Amino acid sequence: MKASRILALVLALMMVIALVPTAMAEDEPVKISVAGYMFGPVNNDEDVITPAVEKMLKEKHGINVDIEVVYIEQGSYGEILNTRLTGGTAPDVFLAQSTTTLNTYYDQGVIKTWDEEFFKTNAPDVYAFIMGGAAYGDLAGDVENWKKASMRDGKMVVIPSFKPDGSMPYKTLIYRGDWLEKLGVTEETLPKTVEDFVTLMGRFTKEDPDGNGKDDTYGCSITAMKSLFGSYGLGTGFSGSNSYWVVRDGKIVNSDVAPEAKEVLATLAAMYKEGYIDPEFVAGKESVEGSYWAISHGMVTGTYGVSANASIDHYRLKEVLNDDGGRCATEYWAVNGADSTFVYGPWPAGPNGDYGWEVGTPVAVSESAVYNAKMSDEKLAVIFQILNAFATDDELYMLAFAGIEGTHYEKNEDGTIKRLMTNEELNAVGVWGCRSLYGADRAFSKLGYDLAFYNDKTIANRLNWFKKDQYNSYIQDAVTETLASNDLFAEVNTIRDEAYVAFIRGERSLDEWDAFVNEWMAAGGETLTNEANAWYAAQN
Amino acid sequence: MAKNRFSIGKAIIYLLLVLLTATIVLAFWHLLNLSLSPSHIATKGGLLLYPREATLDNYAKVIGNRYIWLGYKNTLIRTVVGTVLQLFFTAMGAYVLSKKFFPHRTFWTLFIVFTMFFSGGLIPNYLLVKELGLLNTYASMILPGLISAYNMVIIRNYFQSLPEEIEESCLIDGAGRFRIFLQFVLPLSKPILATVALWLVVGHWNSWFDVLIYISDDTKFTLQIVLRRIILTGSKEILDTSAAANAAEMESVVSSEGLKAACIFVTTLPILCAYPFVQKFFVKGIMIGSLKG
Repeated sequence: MKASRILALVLALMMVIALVPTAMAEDEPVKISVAGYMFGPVNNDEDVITPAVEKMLKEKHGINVDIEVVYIEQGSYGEILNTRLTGGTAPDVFLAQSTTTLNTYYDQGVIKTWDEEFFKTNAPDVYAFIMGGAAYGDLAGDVENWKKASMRDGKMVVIPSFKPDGSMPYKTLIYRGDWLEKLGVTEETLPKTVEDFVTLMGRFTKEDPDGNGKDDTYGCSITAMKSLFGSYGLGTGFSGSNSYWVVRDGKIVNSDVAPEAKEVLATLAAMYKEGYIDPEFVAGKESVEGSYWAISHGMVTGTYGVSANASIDHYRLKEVLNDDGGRCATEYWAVNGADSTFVYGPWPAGPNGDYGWEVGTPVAVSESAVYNAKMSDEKLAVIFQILNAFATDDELYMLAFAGIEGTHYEKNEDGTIKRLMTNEELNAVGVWGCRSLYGADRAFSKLGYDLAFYNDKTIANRLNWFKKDQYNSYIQDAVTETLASNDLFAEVNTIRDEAYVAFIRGERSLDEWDAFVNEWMAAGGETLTNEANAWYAAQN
Repeated sequence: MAKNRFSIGKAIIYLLLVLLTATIVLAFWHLLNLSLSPSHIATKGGLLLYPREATLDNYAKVIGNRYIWLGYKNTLIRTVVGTVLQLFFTAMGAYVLSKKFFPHRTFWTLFIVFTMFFSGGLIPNYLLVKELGLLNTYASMILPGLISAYNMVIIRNYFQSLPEEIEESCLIDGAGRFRIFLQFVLPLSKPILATVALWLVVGHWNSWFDVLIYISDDTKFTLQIVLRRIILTGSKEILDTSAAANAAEMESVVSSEGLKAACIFVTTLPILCAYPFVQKFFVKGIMIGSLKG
C-alpha cells in the first residue's frame, strides 16, 4: 500500500512538473551567449550591467532575453573559438577577427546567413542608418560598397560598420623635434619629396643631431623606409605583411613586384650604402617584442630621427587636445623630457607626385560580430531586434557602452565621456559585455557615431590633420582578402622579405630584379596575381 | 692534495660556469630592478644593474589585482593535487612495468612508449575533455596528463635498479604487493620521485594552454593566464584601420614595462624558491634514472 501511494505521489508530481514548461513557455527568456571584444572577464558577482540591460530590454522594448557574456582572451581568440566551434560549445555571437576569418567561417558553414529583407524587417532603424550613409549621410556613396562587403552568395553574413576615419592613412611620419631644431629644419621646411627626405636622413646620420659628439645616429626606421614605397604609388607589406595590389595599365599588379619597387629599393640601397640606415633595420629598434607595438624605441630613445610606426593618435599634440598625449607621446616625453617635441611630417612625394601610406575604406567588415549557424532564425530575429533597440534607445546604449553615470562614467561638456574605472574593471562589472550586440565601435546610432568618432578628440585631431591640402592624395586601395589562394602569401612574403633585405643591404645586385620577380611569381605570386585580376575584372 | 691543485683547465671551466650563471642571474637581476623602476626609467630600456629610482608602485598594483590572488589559489590547487596524483599513478604504473614476471612486459612497455611519438591533437583532446564533462573543472587540468609515458619510463628504470631481494624478504614477512610498494619501494625511490615531482610541479606551475582551452570560468583561471593577459596586452598590432577609432581605448589597457616585470617576479619567485630544496635529489635522481636502461 505504502509503496503504491508514494508511486502515485511521484507520478502526480511528475505530471505537474511536465506541465510547468508549457505553461511558462511564453515567459521563458531567449538565451543568448555573446563573446565580444573584452579586456578581461566579467565577474558574475559584480556584474550589474548585464542584468540592468536585460531588465531595460524587457520593460522598454518587450524583448525577454537572458544574456550570457563569455570572455575569450583576445591574444588567442581565433584558436580558442575554433576549438569551441568544433566542440559545439561556441557562443551564439562571436567575432570574425578579419575578412579572411569571416570567409573561412562562411566556407565552413559555421556562421549564419540571412536575407537582406530579414535584416530590414527586424532591425529597420539600423538598416536605415546604413542605407542613409550613416549618421550624417556623408558616407552615402559607400552604401553599395557595404552591401558587397557584407554579402556572400547573395546572403548577408555580417553587419558592416561605417568608419569615417577608415579611409585615412592610419600611420604618420613622426620626427624628433629636437633633431630638427638642431639642424634648423622647421615644420615648413620638412622634406616633401623623396630627394629632400634622403638629404635630411643624411644630415640626421652625419651632423650629430643629438649633439653628443658620437656617430651614433641613423636617419630613419624601417617603417619610415616603407613610406617611400608610397612615394611611388605602392603599398608595401615589407617585413611580414601582405602588400597592396595596384592598378597598372588596366591590370592588377602586386606592389612587391611592381617596377617602381625596384626604384624604391635602389634609393634605399643607396641610403644604406651611405650609412643612413641602421644595419639592423629589420630586427632593429622599431617595435620591441613585449612592449606596446606602436612605440618606436629607436626614435624615442634617439637612434632614429623619424619613424612611421605609430598614428597621430599615439602622438597627440598637447595644444590640440590638452590631454595626456597618447600612449607613445607619454613615453616620448618620459624619456626625452616634458619639454621635448615631436613633429608630424608630410609623406615625401615621388617623381609622379604620389605619396602616402596604405589606406582602408570607410566600410569595414573585419572584427564584426557573426552569428553561430546553430541558432534558429527566431533567435537571430531577437538579436536583430536587440540591435535595433540599442540603435534607437540612447539610454540603453549608454548603459551597455558606458555603465551607470556617476559610478562608471562622467559626461564632459563637449559631449564626450570620461570613464571612471580601468577597462578591466569596467569589463568586470559588465560594461562592454554586450558590445557585440550593440555594435560598440561599429556605431548604429547618432549617439554611438558621435561618441566613437565625432566627439572623439583623437579622431578630431586626425580629421584636422588629414584635411590639410598636401596630404589628401592617398594610394588607391585595390586589396582584397577574398583570393582563393590566400595562403600562398606566406611563401611569397618570405621570398619578398629576404630579397628586399638583400637588395637594400647590397648583398644582391638590383640587376637581379627580374630573377627575383620570377622567383616571386613561381612561388605562388602568379596564381595570386591571376586571381586578383579575375577579381578586378569582375568588379568592373 | 693533487686533486685540489690549480690548473688552467679548471680555471677555464670555472670561468665558463660563472659566465653561464651570470647569463641567468643577470636576467633576473635586471627584471627585479625593472620591476622596482617607475615607468619613465623602465621605458628607456637597456640593462638595469641597480634601480635608478626605486618605487614599489608596480608591486602595489600587482598585489592589488584580485586575479593574481585567484590565480595563485588555482595554480596552487592544480599544482599540489596534480603533482600528488600524477606522481602516485605514474609510480604505480612504473612499478608494474618494472616487474620481470609481469606477463608481456616488453609489449606493454613499448605500448606505452609508443604514445610518446604521437599526440591526439588539440581538437580531439578538447572533444574528449568536453564529452567527459570536464570543461571548467580542475580535473581538466590534471586528468588528461595524469600519466606521462616519459616519466613512467624513468621511474620504471629506477625501480628496476632496486634489489629484488628486499621485496622477497618483505613477501616472506607477509607484506602484500601494495604494502611493499607503499612502504618500501616508494621511500627507497625518493631521489627519482623528487626529481619527477619537481618536473611536475614546474610543469603545472607554468602550464597555461590547457586552461586557455578548457576553462572559461574566470574564477578558475590560473596564474599564468593572468600573467599572460597582463604581459601580452598591447604587444601586438591587432588594430587594423577599422579598429583605429578605438586606439585611445586600447592604449589605456596596456601594462607598463615595470608592471609586467613585477608580475613576472611575483609569479615566478615561488617556483624558483622550490629548486634549492629539491636539488640534492635532483642530481642523484637524474643520474640513476638515466644510467640504468
